[in-house]
Amino acid sequence: MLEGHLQLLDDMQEVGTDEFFYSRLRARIEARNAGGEWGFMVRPAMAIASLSLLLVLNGFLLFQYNKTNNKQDNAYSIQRFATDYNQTIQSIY
Amino acid sequence: MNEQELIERLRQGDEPAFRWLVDTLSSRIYYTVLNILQNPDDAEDALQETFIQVYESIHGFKTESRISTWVHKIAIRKALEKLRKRKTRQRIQSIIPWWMPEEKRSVDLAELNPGIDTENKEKATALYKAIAQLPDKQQLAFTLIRIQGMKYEEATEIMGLGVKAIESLLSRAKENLKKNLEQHYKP
Repeated sequence: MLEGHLQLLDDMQEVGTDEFFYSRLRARIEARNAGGEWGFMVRPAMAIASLSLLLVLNGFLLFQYNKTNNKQDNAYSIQRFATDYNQTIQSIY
Repeated sequence: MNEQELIERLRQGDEPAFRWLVDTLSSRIYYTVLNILQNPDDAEDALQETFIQVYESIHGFKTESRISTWVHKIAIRKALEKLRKRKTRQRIQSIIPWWMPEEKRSVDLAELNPGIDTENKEKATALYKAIAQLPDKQQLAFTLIRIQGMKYEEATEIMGLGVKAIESLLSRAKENLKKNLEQHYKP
């Protein structure tokens, strides 16, 4: 069975590019040179990577913001508590 | 124009030299890539990427091998990359069909080949399907030697393997083709 099929290979003719291949290639090279190939930006891998990076950055900034805010809040409430109850240290000198 | 002169002119960005190279090699390499990818659009894309790489990296070309071999190697690498990506996409598509758009189906190469007459089209289609199921290296060896009629010497340079390794790949390819064809005709 295989030989019967393989004989077909001898009848096959090489299929080549058409006469406009070079023009299409040239246009693509020129588009690249002009910075026109931004197709990679819409690839799923690129989109997922960008989104993940954005989320990580967002999370980090939120964490940093909360940390700073908590510190300020703590310092503020301790100072206010001390003032309210007249607990501030006064020097005798 | 001899090869050294051609390389020199390509390195200087000479447009007619580049066009000459493309016109001389494109059809033969297209046929290799088409047989690997079994899709004319993907084959054209891989071929364009190949010549873009040639255009951009001709300065890095070492003259140890012939330029046609070098271009052929790049084209095969591009085709195999596309084939792997396609297989990965098909796998993902089968797991989560809503995530990926449906993969382009392979085109029946028997329809594209003017050398195949109508009564043999079905046989040729079965043969192409069986070839597409071969492992990458076996498919490549079979395409270069058996379909394109390339000499062993050239195929060894392109594939970076010895003659014995290619002979072994061809022999295994034939065994697998037989199995694949039997599977195809099983009722």
